[in-house]
Amino acid sequence: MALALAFLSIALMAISQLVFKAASLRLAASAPRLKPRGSFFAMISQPQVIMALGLNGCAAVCWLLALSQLDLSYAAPLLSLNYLLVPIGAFLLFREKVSRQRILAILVICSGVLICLFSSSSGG
Amino acid sequence: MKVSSNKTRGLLALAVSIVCCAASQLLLKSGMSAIGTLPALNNLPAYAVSLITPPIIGGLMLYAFGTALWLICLTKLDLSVAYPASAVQFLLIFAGAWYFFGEPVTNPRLAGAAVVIAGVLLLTLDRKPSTPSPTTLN
Repeated sequence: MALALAFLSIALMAISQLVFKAASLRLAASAPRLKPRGSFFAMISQPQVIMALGLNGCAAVCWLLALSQLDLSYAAPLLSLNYLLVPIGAFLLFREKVSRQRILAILVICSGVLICLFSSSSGG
Repeated sequence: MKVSSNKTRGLLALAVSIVCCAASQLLLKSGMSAIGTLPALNNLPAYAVSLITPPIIGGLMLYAFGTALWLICLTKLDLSVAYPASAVQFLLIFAGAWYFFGEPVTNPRLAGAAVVIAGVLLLTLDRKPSTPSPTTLN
C-alpha cells in the first residue's frame, strides 16, 4: 500500500511536468514574444499551471503518506525514476526528438541522482 | 542563429529557476524550523496565521517566481532536456543544507553530484537540433 502511494506520487509528479509543458506550449502559441515582467501573474494563474501545481501538491501529500510507512532509504531512490518518466512522456506526448546523446545524458543524471539519494539516506 | 539564442535564453531561465526553487526550499525549511511547535491542525486559522512569517512568505514568493521562470524555460527548451537538467536543484539543496543547516556531506554524495553534473553537461552541450518551436506546430 505504502509502495503504491510512493509510485502514485512519482506518477503524479511526472504528469504535473507534462501539464507544465502543455501550459508552456499554449503560452508560446498565444504570446510568441513573451515579456516576463508584464505577464507574471497572468502566466502563473493559467488553469493548466494551477492544475500542474495542484498535481504537485497531491504528489507531495502521497509522498508524505508513503514515507510515514516506508524507510526514506528505501523510498528516496525511487525519485530518480522521474528523470526517466518525464522524458519518456515528453517523447510520447510532445514528439520531442530524443537524440542518443540525450538518452545517455539522462541515464548518467539518473545514476548520479541514485548515488546521491542512496548515500544521503544511509549516511545522513 | 535563432535556435541557438533560444537555447541560450532557455538555459538562462532554467538556471535562474533552479536557483530560485532551491533557495525557496531552504527558506521554507528555515521558516518551518523557526516556528518550532505549530498549533494543532484542527485549529486551522491559528495554524494558518502561524505560517505567516517572513521566511515562509519569501520562500513561497520565490517558488512562484521560479515556477514562472520554469514556464518560460519550457517555451524554449524540450521538456526532455529541461527536466533532467533540473536535477542540479538537488545538488543546490544539498549544498545549502550543508552550508546553512550543517547537514553532513558524504563522499558518495559528492561522487553522485559529480555524476549528475557530468550528465547535465552532456545534456546541455548536445548539438543535435531540438524539437521545432511549438509555434510552428500549431
